[in-house]
Order: sequence, then C-alpha cells, then structure tokens
Amino acid sequence: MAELETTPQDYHLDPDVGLMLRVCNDDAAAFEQLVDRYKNRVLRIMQSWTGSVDHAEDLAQEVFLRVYRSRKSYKPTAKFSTWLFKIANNVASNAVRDRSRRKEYQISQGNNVSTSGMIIENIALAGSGSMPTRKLDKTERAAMVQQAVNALGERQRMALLLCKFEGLSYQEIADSMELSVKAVKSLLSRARANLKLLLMPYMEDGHVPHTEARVPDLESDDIDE
Amino acid sequence: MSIEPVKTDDDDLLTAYLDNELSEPEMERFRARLVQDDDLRKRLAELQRTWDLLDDLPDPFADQAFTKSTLELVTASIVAGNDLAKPNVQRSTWSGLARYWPFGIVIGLALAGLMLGFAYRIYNERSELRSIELVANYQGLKVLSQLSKSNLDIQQLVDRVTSIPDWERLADAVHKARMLPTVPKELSVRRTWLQGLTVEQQAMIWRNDRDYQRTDRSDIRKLALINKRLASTTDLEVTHRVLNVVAAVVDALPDNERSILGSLPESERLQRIRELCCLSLADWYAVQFESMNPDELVQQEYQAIVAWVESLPPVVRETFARNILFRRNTFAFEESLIQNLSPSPRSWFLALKEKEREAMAMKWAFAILRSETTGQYPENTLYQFYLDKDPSVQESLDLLSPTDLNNQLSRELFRPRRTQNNQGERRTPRDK
Repeated sequence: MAELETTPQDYHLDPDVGLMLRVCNDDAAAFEQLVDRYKNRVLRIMQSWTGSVDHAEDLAQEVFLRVYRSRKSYKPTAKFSTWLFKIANNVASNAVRDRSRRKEYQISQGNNVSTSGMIIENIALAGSGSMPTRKLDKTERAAMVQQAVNALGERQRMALLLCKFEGLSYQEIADSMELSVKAVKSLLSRARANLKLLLMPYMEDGHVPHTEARVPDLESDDIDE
Repeated sequence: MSIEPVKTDDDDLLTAYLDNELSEPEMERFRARLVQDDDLRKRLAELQRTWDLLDDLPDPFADQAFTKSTLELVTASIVAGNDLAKPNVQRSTWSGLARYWPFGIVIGLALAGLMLGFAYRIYNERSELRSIELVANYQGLKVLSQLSKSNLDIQQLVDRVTSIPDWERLADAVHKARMLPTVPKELSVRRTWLQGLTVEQQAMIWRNDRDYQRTDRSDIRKLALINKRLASTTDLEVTHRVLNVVAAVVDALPDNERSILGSLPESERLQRIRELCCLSLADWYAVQFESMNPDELVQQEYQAIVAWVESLPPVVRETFARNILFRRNTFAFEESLIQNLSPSPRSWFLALKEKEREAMAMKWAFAILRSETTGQYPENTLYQFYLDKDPSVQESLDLLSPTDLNNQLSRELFRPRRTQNNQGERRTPRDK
C-alpha cells in the first residue's frame, strides 16, 4: 500500500517531494534514497506490463533515469508518486509499443511471459474435469491470482495496481495515466468484474475452478467515457 | 457456453463504494440500498473477496545491487553527455551591449553555423571511433547484458571460464572464427586500426554496426556501462576473449535453453555458462580427435587430450565420448562390440534397452580411449565380472534394476585397471 496518504492539496507534506526537490539541486544522496524507496513499487508495475523480471528491471532503471534527467523541470504540484507513476506509465507503454513494432531478440523469457490467451487457457486447463479436485495451497493460489491479473488489459491492470497497491485516489490514477476520472472509474469497475469472473470458482468453494466456459477477451480496455 | 461479464451501473457504484470514492450523500443512499437488497450485498461481498485475494500476490524485490547499478547508469548517462537537464542560468547584466543585439545575432548565427558544421564533422567521426569498441565487441556485450540481471560480476564470469583446463584452445578457435583483434584504447589510432582490418574483419564490423544501430538507446547505455565495467577486470584482453567464447557458446544454444539460462539465479547461471564452455571445448576436442589420423597422432598430444578428458566432470566426459561415437557411427561400434563379446555377455548386452546399450557403448568407448594411451585394456564383459562375484554379492546385485546393475558394475569395471582383456587384443572404435 502507499506509504503516504497525502492529497494534491498537501503535497508539500510529502517527504518524497522534499527529496525530489533536493534531487533538483543535484543531490545524489537524495536520488539514491528515492530509488531505494520506490524501486520495488516501480518494479511491480513494470513486471505487470512485461511479465519478465529482467526486462522489468531494465524498464524500472529507465524510469529512474528519466526522473533524474527531468529533475530540472520537476514542479511539485502533486504527490511525488503521482509524477513517478506517470513516467512509469509512459516508459511501459512505449516499451510495449516498441516491442510490438519490431520483434526483438530476447534471451530471458523465464518469468511469466505467456500471453493473456495462454493464461486463460491455463486456467481453463486447470479446471478441466480430468484434474482431481483439491484445495489450492498458497503458492498455487498466488499463481492463479497472478494469472488472472495478467489476463487483464494493460490499462485495467495498471489502474488496478495503482489503486490496490499504491492506494492512489481516482484523481491521482487519472493524473498518472493521463485519463479522465470517469475513465479510471470504468477501468477499475471492469477490472474488478473480470477478476471476479476468473476467480469466482475459487471463491465459491475454495477449489480450482471447474468451468468449461470460454472467458471472453479480457484484454479489451474499452473505456466508458 | 460463454460467459460475458455484463457491466451495469451498479458495478461502477460498487467499485466506487469499495474504493471509498463516493460522496457523502451517495454513500448514504448506497448504504440504504444495501440494507434492502440481498443481491447487491452478495455482489459487494464477492467483489471484496476478489480484491482481498490480490494480497496473495508475491511482493517484487530489488536488492541493493539494483540501486547501485541504477546510480551507475545515471552516472554513465551524465558522462556520455546525455543528461538533458538544463542548469539554471544566472541572469547577467549585459545591458550595455543590449542595443547591438541584432548585429550580434547575425554574426553569432554565421559563426555558429560554421562552427557547428565543423564540430558536427569532428563529433561524428569521434563518436564513430568512440563507439567502435562497443561495435567490435557488440556480440559479447549484448550476450553479457542479456545474461546479467542488474549486476553480473564480470570478474567472476572471467574466473569461472578461465579455470577450465585448456580454455584458451577454445578461445583461440572462437577468436579465429570471429577474427577481430582487440580495439586499441586510444581514439587517435583507431582509424588506422580500422583501415588495417582485412575485408572479412571489416564485414564483421559492418554487420555488428548494423545491429548496433538498431539497438535502443537505453540498451546502448547498458552496453556502455558493461563495457566500462570491463575495464575494472584484471586483464582486459582475457576478458574480451572470455566474452567472445561466452557469446559464441550462448549464441549456439537453442531458444528454449537460452530462456532457461536467462531465468536461472546468478550463481547457477555462471555455473551453467562454465559447463557450456566445457561442453563446447569437449566438442572441439572431439572434432580435433576425429580429424587427426590416429597413426600420425603425436602420442604426447594424444595423452594430453585424454588427461584433459579425465579432468572433466562425468557428464561432460560422457558428452565427449558421445561426440566421438556419433562421429564414428555408434551402431557400427556397437556391432563390433557385440561380435567381440563371448555368447553369454553378448546375450546379456543385447537384452539391455536401446538407451542402456548406447550408454554402455559410450562407457566402453571411453575406456578404450583411455586404454590406447596406457597400453592397457578394459575388461570387455560385465557378465564375466558379475560371475566372478561372490554368490551372496550376486544375490544382492540380482535385486537391482538393470540400469542400476549396469551403473554399479560399470563403476567398478571401468576404474583405471591394469589387466588385459580376455583376447589380449587391442580393439578400438577405429577397428570397426
């Protein structure tokens, strides 16, 4: 969850804004502190976009590099995290766009690189009648929840992560993702509905889902404006 | 059957309620509805439970090495002149000269144009020369960058590879294939160095440069950072040789094995790279071994090969034997082996599964290879070996599965021994 509960009005109370202002004056120690404070949170966002730990680390570093390079133009008009996640959102969507434009030689695909379709297929397979019914242990449950999250569209997933793990308000998520508040509300509503659909069988009886249902395309990020 | 998530206004309302995003009056109205509407309460509970399941997701963890390499990346960016931050310029008091500004601008622009053209040419040339080190070592750096997560210890990689006996033979072979001499440190001599390259070497530079130009700026920064780190290793030339070897070995891997390699933890990754280099060296030796006429093979060199093979871990040694066998036609070798066995062990050998027979043949091949240098021969029959055992031992061996029995007898049988085989003949895979 977010470490701070500041609002745009009292952003000056955000200690990270103070750190960033020191970075503006080329304070390397302050920058190091910011990297330490936000590295895991940025990494979570990047992993959700790329599915690969290695690539996520590269992108997270790119985010911090951009923070440093943009230091002179930084204006403390909101919480620091809102500004940081805006950069993260841009870096991640650029990376995804680049990747789809050209097929890149990649050595490491060891961690959750399956596409949404495959993930859905996995869940369906797990729920096939041939598999004995049994309780899921914690690791399996985590893997199942991860697959369900990965199955969401990129923007739904981003909005969900910012809401759930960063505790950002709709307004702050809208600022970070450069969307309207209404669009964020719609994204989150769809994200919750889709998650419920995928995880319902587990929630109902605590077992691996037993459904032959074909789950519709969850990658659609259509926003009700 | 198809399930479509039907989105209703209530979904937005429920989401906003759970996210505490309703205004006070909306909240009141919603609570009132909740009291009366069982279905709404149920849906709310389901959404809340789904939300709570997200707490099971693992937390990502970036260690101190991540912070360190991020700071290094930023430093490298500043050093490379990519720091776009505009420093605050103090306003000066040049008011006296202000009235001449139109002339100043015209002259300034003309001068700046000339200077820029000249500077651009020099910059371009220098920038090309500066990047030539990255271009020449592109394959190695790229592989290293893909292998390293946030902070691969290059010195450790170099130490692991150079600890392989005879690794330099492999490095020489790779060097010959890649054909690029080390790039000189000084920019001033790099132009001459480039001109001195052969046509093939220049073609290789051109190919690398084409890949380099297609690389993302962020990746180039990473390559530059790794290249900078290389300077901290004890011997730069050795480091480049190791990198060439690693690049060649990793490039040769099929995609799925490269993926597995990429996902291993760092220490296991280093160990696996070392094993792969060992296997490549074994392969190279096998090719050398095959290409030489045994009669002309210098005994000393032959012994060196065998000594090297014996120093390898068992799995690599088996690969070496397998390589020789495959090149020499495994089946023909097995055939000759069967014909040379006496009837009882032959039927015993034939009763083995195909894979077991192949494995046995490989062990034999290696034992014969060893015998060629020592003048001694291995026992050629496991069956005889089995019969020689005490009946009580035989009884316990009978309880083993055929595979375990093979393994146990082979372990004992193919220890270095100084006995002649039954026929007292020299028989090698080459006799087939």
